[in-house]
Order: sequence, then structure tokens, then C-alpha cells
Amino acid sequence: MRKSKMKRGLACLLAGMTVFLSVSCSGETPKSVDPPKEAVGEGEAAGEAVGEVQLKCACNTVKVTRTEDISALLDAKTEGLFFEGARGETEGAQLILRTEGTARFDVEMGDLTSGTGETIPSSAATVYAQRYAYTSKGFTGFPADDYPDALVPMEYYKKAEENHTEADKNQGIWIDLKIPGEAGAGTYTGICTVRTEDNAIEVPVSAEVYDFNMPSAPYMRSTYLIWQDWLMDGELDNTIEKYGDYYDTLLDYNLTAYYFPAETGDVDGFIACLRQYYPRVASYGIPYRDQTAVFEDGNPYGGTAGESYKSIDYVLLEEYLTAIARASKEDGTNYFEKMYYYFDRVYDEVSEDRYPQMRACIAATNALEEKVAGQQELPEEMAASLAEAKHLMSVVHGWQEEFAQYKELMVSPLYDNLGSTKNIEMYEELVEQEYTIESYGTIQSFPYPTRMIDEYLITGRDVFWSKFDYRLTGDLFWNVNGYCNWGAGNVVGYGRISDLYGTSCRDGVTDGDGYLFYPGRPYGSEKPFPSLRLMAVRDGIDDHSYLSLLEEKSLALAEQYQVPTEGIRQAIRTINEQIYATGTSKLNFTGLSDVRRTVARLIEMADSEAGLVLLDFDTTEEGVSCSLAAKGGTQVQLNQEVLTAQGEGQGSEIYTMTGMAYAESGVLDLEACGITAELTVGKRPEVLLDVEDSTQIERLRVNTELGSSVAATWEAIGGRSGSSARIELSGAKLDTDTQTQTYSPYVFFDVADIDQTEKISFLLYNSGEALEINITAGTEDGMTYPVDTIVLPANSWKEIEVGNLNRISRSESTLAAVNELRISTGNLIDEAGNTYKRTLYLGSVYQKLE
Amino acid sequence: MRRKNGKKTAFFLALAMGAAMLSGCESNTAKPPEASGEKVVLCGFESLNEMLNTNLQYMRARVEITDDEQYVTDGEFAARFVIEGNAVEDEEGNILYYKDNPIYLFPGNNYMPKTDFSDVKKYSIDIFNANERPLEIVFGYNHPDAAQDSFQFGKRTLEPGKMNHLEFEVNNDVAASFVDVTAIKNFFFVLEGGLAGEKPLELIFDNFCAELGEGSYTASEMTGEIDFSREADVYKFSEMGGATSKLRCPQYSLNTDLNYVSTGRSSMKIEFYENKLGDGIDSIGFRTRDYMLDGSGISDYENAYLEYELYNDTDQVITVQMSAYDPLNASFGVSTSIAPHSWSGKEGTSICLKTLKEYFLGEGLDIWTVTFIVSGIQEDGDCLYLDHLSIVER
Repeated sequence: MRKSKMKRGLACLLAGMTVFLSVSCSGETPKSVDPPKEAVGEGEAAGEAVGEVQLKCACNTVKVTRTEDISALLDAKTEGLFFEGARGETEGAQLILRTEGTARFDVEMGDLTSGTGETIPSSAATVYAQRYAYTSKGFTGFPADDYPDALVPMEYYKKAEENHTEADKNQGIWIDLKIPGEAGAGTYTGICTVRTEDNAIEVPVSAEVYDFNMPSAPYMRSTYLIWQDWLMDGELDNTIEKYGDYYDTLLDYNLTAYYFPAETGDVDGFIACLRQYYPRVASYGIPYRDQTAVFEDGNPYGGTAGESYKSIDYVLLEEYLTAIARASKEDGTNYFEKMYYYFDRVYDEVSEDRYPQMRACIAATNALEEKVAGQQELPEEMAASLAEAKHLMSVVHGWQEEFAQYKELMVSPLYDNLGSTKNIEMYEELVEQEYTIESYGTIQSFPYPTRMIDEYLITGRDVFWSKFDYRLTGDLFWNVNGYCNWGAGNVVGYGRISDLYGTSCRDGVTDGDGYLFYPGRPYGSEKPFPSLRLMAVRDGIDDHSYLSLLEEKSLALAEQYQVPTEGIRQAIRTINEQIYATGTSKLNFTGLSDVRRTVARLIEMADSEAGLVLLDFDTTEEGVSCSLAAKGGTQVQLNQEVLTAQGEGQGSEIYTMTGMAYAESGVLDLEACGITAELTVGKRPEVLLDVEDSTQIERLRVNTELGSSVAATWEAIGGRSGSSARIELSGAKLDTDTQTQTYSPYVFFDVADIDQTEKISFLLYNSGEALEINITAGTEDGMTYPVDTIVLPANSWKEIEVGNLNRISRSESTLAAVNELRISTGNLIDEAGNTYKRTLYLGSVYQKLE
Repeated sequence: MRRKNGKKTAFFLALAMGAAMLSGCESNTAKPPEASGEKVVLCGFESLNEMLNTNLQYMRARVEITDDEQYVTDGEFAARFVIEGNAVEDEEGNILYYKDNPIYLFPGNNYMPKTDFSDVKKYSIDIFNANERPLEIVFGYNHPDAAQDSFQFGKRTLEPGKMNHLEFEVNNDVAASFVDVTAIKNFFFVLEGGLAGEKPLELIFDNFCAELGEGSYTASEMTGEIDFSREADVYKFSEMGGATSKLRCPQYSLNTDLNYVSTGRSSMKIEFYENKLGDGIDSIGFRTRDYMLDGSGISDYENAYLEYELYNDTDQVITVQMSAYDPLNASFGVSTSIAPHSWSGKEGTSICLKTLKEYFLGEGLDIWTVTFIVSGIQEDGDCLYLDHLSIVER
């Protein structure tokens, strides 16, 4: 099993490397865009000489461009297609076809059969042809090329007679497998046949069905906006029925739009939708109409008397809330639980100048909720849910002090606000204080999660792993159907795009922002077609559901066993370390499926007779620590060794291992009840800089002699005995104000092999008030790259882990050239202009290689 | 192509063409008349892809391509529009009416490569009105609401239950006075919106064409006089303020009935229409479009006046407030009352330029627009006649 997984992993790795290496390439000649082509009745005739046919596998976490070399990818005929997922889940797999000459092609999935005779019918599979768009804006830094994005179902592709390869160009094929809700767990096999003219290649297919069900509604809340008016630009139809087609299709990708498919003001229609969709959505929004109001004299919102401001129609809002209240009582369902508001025209991306109208809106909504709860005599639980209904508040620059007074906000900062330890810890603290935090993305590129066409596919997926860890409860995207060119206005609206499948830039700046769908009508479909990027979002939300299920089941078992729960999140976080660090994707193209499998197996273990829960899991320089509980009498094995319980819980046994050696394979196999979960531990962290060795202290240097210094010390500091490096950083006054303001004292040490490093860790003690430090990487040629910003608490040790090293650069050569790491502060100068010193104590520095 | 060859067909087509040229409006047949000059199909409505080169975003509708012979007048297909419309509601959420439905077609692409329309002498389009009542539609260049750089050819009525072959004659001497006809940005068709309670409007479009001619023209310059001695003068006006429908805004046409002329041989008829709410007239008045009056030749402001003469052809006394605005929105106005079926008097119908200069903010005397707010118009179809709006030296 592991050998074939390694080979599959190698296939993905090479594909990922190819994409990765293409970052370093430049100088692609821009290509012309093809003129619009009718979908029906046209298509080039296949060439007579097909020539060599290559059919390769690629991970579902990578994009393979039209032109890139696929010779290093693994052969599909021998490696096969591999799916794995839970019941009710849809998972994708990818083939790349390449023919020497042009050729018609077709793909047919057969039934999949398990060892026990169960069948997943071929109808559970949807085969898509990938269409390519030439990207040229360069916003992401990736080179111009034909990137795959639109996915056209093969039945439509064939009808349009477009199912032909281009000579010596890649043709991507994406296959979704929806695992039936009633499928038995186990392995199913079958054949996928790829035909090119007279040639047929049979690809073995294997599907692993995990023994648990996906939830009917995802755990991750989402607001992905469908712009109804703009549907006209791609579908030539912007009726509510067409909006409904999009709404329904979004649900298939675990996403919800803000509005149900009912016109604003159609309260009865809204309630009908509420009843229909409620079980499938994580949340739903309340329609509204905006109005203009005027601040009264003496208003409590800080508005200027007589000044007009954006408000909403509260009469309409009351109608909606009243209707929901009545439906809740009639149906015995607390529909308020999933309700939220997004009065974007009042407070979207709010800033200080709009605080008064935001305050007025929240106050008025709260008053209305109370009124409706009273008038409708809502039961306590429903009234509480109504009172707790939240406003989605997107914010470009992150948390604002204004929000501190409102627990009824879902504060959603841009992804780049969660790219440093400082900010992540701030938001985690806010979550602890019961604020609701989400995040959203727009025009961004790596190292931030992004939805650009010429960007990594995986970051649109693994952002949801970080959202789980940081307890971010939702995601927002401004438009899934940007079918016009809003980067080019004209007298009567935005610019037109005649070839939506081939035009990647719609805003004049990026390739891909503002749309995740492609119109179906050009192909004769009333439903829109997805993009690869939408698949990544769907899969990421499924991954998030896995993590949420694992936590939920773990907490339930821990409560049942009456054992501590504090380490459960840390255990999951350690598992997630393979996927991202400090809000930055680790670009683990090959390993994501392995980590996901680990989570799935742990869920199965929790559900099994073993009732196994991972209570703690960590990897440090001292070894691997792991604590778990299982039902009494269960045999639990770790790397084929039967474990002995060290304690008991309620009806359970507790197993605790500390300081375990790192397995050579980098993996611990945890097994119970015939289920095995692989816990990735990686390599043992090695000492990079040993502060016990005074000669190594010399490797620590400060940037200037302006009062900063480094020395070895053996004094016990902050309750920790042993050696450390005593670093004194000193502020300085320089010749000019600008020089003084920008001066940054720092200590640095040499590093190597950063391109092969998983993380660098060390302990740092701050002797003084809380201090903000920056971690920066430097290269041989004098370039510096910010890595992290961390707040050191006052007079205490902090464990620093620098795992987001690929934040420095996507380029392997740049990473390889990193030769120093710096710890710096802003200039240490007080308000009176006096310089001062700050002493830090550094423990040994460890480097964990990949 | 569905046209048959044959003398009989040609004869009837010629008859139809003649009738169309005279009426400029409709045809019962699904086949357009033969063009007299070279014909260029600007939009054949042949495919969904072709329709993606239009902007229909401002209507709530669904468009389908049909090959139903009843509706196809050229090529193989036509485009069926089923228009639900964007509703205007009262405070209780009751639908009052539906907004107008604009259609914008853009030149300069694979489907409509032509951008220079200076050689066009006529436009035509075939529209089947599949509804139970007549519908109004206007057609023009660029933006229907813009006060500059736009041109409206005129309003037409689409008769119900039949194919309407619409034609719009082009006088580039006039059109070029307002837009750059060598670089048209877009065409607009604005179809009136539906009525409250009405089912979605259904229309089928085909064969939007341009008939070409010589291509020579002479645009007129703006002067200090609008006396309707030139055809272009009638196009120098637009509605004042908002309206429930573009199709119900005041319409302007050249009048040569001397009963409604004070000086010269022509005046401008201004016809008002009831708004879609049924409680008054659409638009509170009318105004000149931007920079239609050029007073730069005047040096003696003290003895120069901006004046007008207006005939009230209604049964009510009307009050007219004329105001002149500069580009910085500074203004000065005068007011007068006009008895039914009477001309305006001398009082309150002129502004001394010296006074204007005192109120205007900028250098010189730059008249951005002259507005006429008219109160007292009550009936649908009520008319006024503007004899002139001029800067005169006394």
C-alpha cells in the first residue's frame, strides 16, 4: 500500500515540481486569443495521424498547463486512478492526455465493485474536459501560459464536437466521483477507458470509501455571492429561475449564496426556500432593501445631525423575521440558528467614516429582533438564537477596536490579516473571548490563499485547514459569476466578453478574480459549469468537515471517558502542520491526501468498537509525545507494538507516550480494530545552534555595534535553567529622523538548507514589557524577506516556530540561497526620544528537515 | 436565407418597402423590404454568442435563439426576449410598474466590426411584438440618458401580434452635430417596461441593419440661437429630472404649422405624456442638453438677453420657470405664467446676460444648460410649442 502511495505521491510531486519550477521560467511569448467559436456544430476535424498517446496521472491538488512537459508524470495505465472519500462526499481525480497529432477523445467510467459485491455505479462519476485560458496579467508572478480552469462535462463537450486534442498539447481530464450515501466502507475497483480515435487505454480505478458519512450541511459557513444582474452577461438569463440554478449548483460545492432564490420582498417565496434548503446549508442570509435615513439631533451613533446615511428597510426586515418566527414555531425547527445578516451596502469593508451608520443598523436590528421575539412569543431557545443572529462584517485591514462592543458580528478580515503569528494569536484570543471571526479573499496571491487561475490550486483548498485551526467559522467571496469586463467600463456599463471560456482577465488586473463558474448555456446546459478552483474550494470545505467531525467525535469520547480535552486541538494542529504554517500553505501537493486519510482513519477509529480518541500529539526536539484513550479492552498498537495502558478513564484506558524516538519512516502507524492511521512525525529536529556550546554563541551576531550585544549566559531565566544566549538589543539615534525611525536592531545567525526545512524552532525570553519582533530571512546577495511578526509576552518565554518558510519565496533557488535568519525589533526609542535596551534570551535553535 | 427569388415576390417586397418608407414603422410580413443601398447586417441575432456582445444587464429577462420561421426575417435564427422586468414598488412592496428595458449593442467586434457609421442613411430592425398591447421603443446612439455625446433617432410603436419592421432615417448633418458618427460607442434600444400585473413581455428581434449611402455630411456648430430653422435644433433638448419611463418623457418634433410659430417658419412641438403611475405627467419639464447655446460672441452683456417664446396649447394656465446654469451649477432663473392656448409674454421670459454673469461662478459666460420647469401640465398628450430660445442683443 505504502509503496504504491509513494509512487502516486511521486506522480503528484513531479507535477507539482513542474508547476513550481515553471515559476522560475520566463520569457513565454504571448499568444493570441482565439476568436469566439460557436459551441454547437463546430469543431476541428481530427487529424488522421494520432501518433504517440500519453496518458498520465496527476494529483487533484495541482494544475497542469497546456504546454508543460508531462513525461515525468506516472503512466495512468499502470498507476491508475485513485479516489478516497466518505459516504456522500464527492472527490476528484485527474488524468492528463497528450497525443502527438490531433485526436478525438472520449472517457468512460465503468461501475466500481467492492470485494463484498457492492457497486458504485458509473453514473456516480462525472467526467469533465478541462478548458484552458491564456493568462497574461502576471499578477501572481507565475508566467503567462494556458492554464486549465473551466471544466466542461464530457457529454456537452462531445455534443459541441470539441472533444479533440491539440497536437502535442496537454488535455486535462477531471473525474468527480460522488460516493453514494449508502455505500459500504471498503475498496471498490473498476476501469476507466480513455479512447483516442481507434485507441483505447484502460485505466484501473480504485475507490476507498471511508466508514463515515459526510454531514448534510458543511461545518464551514460560506457567503459566495451570485450577482443576479450579471448572470445575463454569460447566460443571457438573469431571472430568478436562473439564479436558482446557480444557487443549487453552489450547494453541490458546499457553498451558499447570501440570497435564497426568491426575489427580495417575496417573503412567502423566501420561507418556501428556507424550508427546502435549511437541512443543506450551514447558514442563510436575510434579504434587504437599502434606504437612506437622516441622523437626528443627539443620536447615540456619532452621526452628524441632519446628515443622510445608508440604512435599510426595517419594515421589510420585520416581515422576514416575523415570517421566520412563525415558520419556526409551525415546524418545530429553530430556523434562527443558521440565520445571519450581510447588509453590505451599509457596512461592507467598514471604516471609521461609516461607523455611525453601522452602529445605527446594528442597534435597529437588535431592537427589531427583540420586538419580533416578544410579539411572536418565541420559545426561549428560538428567542436566544434570534438575539444572537450575527452581521457579516468584512474588513480589509482586520480587527478594529470599534468591534469590541459587538458580539453580534462575524468579523471577516482579508486572508492577509492572518499571515503572522502576531495576528493569528490576536484573533485566537478574540475567539476565546467569544467573538466570531471569519476570513475572506479577493485579489491576492501566494503566500496568501487565492483563487487566481495562474496560481496554485492547493491554496484554495488548504486555507480551510488553517481556518479550522484558527477557529474561523466562515468564508466570503464577492462574486462567482463575473461574466463581464468590469476593468473596462463604457458609457453604458462594463465591457463585454464574447469568449468567457477563453478570457481569464475580467478586471484588468488579475486572471481569475470575480468568477468561479462558467456559463452553461453556450453548451446547452441550464446549470453552470465549475472551475478547477471551485473544486478546490469544495474539497477544502470537505476537509474542514473531516477535521470538525474528528474534533466533535473526539470531544464526545473524551467527555464520555471523563478525560482531559485540552490537548485534542493541539493533536489535530500537529497533524495539520503538514498542510500549512502561520497561515501559509506548505504546498504539500502530494501529502495532503495522506494527512486527510489520517484524519479519516481517526474518525473511523472514534466510531469503531475501539472508540479511540487522540488526546494529545506533539513532535519536539525531545521526541514524539502522544496520548490517547480507547474503550477498555481494546488492543491498540503503535508501529506494530501493542501498547500498555498507563491509566483509566470512565470505561476507557489511557495510553501516554512521551519522548518517543522518531521513526525512520517519519510516520507512526496507530492501529486499533483493524484500522490504521498514519501519524506523520517527520524527522527529528536537529540542533542548528547550540547555546550550550559557547563557541556557537559566536554565530549569533548583531547588526551594528550601536549598543547591541550577544553573550553566553548560564543564569536561570524565567523559571528555566540551563544555558541561553543573552542578547541585548539597543535603540539608536541616527543622523536624520528617517534613519532613526527606520533603524531596526537585530540579532542574526546563519542557516542553510532552508529549501529542505520543515521548520526552525527556538525558545525566546523577553525581559520587559511585551515586545513585537520580526523574523526575517536574508540571502547571500543581500536580499531580505519578511517571514513572521510575533509579539513576545512580557517577562516570559515563548516558543517560536518558523514553519512558513516558503513564505519567503516560491522559488527553490531563492530558498536555497537563504543563509541567515534575523530576529529584529523596531527602534528601541521611547516617546521622549530616549533610546533604551531590551534583553532577550535565546535557547538552542533547532532545524527540522523535511 | 429564406428569401425566394421571383418577380411576384419582388413586386410585393417593393410594395412593402414603399409602405415601410412612408410609414417608417411596421410590416405584417416577416420579411423586410429590400434595401435601396448596400445593406450591412449589424446584428443578425443568430446565436447566443452574438448576443453576448450586447449589454442586457439592466433588464430582468431570458433570451433564447429561435429558428421559428414566423420570426426569422434574415439568416437562420432570431432572438426571443422574455422580459420579466425590474419592478418599482411602493413602501408596502406593491409593484407600481416595471422599469424600461435597455438593450445596448456594441460595434467593433467580430460580430459587428463596423465602427464608422458616417455612411449610414438608414437603420432598420425587425421586432415581433408577441404581446397583447402596443409597446413603445426608442433607438439611438450611445447613452439614452446622456446630455452629451448621444443621439436619439426617435420613438416607434410596436404593434401587437405582428412583425414590426422599423426604420430610422439618418441625417448625419444632424447626428454628427451631437456625436462622433465615425466612432459610435454603442447603439441603444429602450423598450418600455411592463405594467403592474402584466405578464412578462415577449418580443423577438432579428435583422438589425444599416443601409449605406454617400457618407458625406456637415455637422452644425452650436450658436447662440435655437430657432428651429435647422433640423438639428429639435435634438438639442432632453427631459428635466427623473421619469418613470424614457418612452414617456417629453418628445420633441419640428413644427411647421404657423399657428404655433411666432417668428420664422418653424417651432418645436413638445409633447408630454402621463407617467406610469397614472397620477401626473412624466418629467417636470425639459432642458437643453449640455452646451447647446454658445454665447461667446457676445461682448455687451448689458444689452444681451437669453430669451424664449413659448405657446401653451393646453387648457390650463401653466407656470414656466426658466433657469440658466453654468458648469459649476450656479444658476439664475425667471418665472412666468402662460394662459391656455396663448403665447408667453415679455415678462419673466428673458434674463439679462449681465445678471447671469453676476450669478455665474466661472470666467466668461459658459451656459451649461437652460432648464424649463413647467407646472400645470395635466393631460397625456398636452403640448407646448417653443418658438425659439436664443441669446439676442437688444
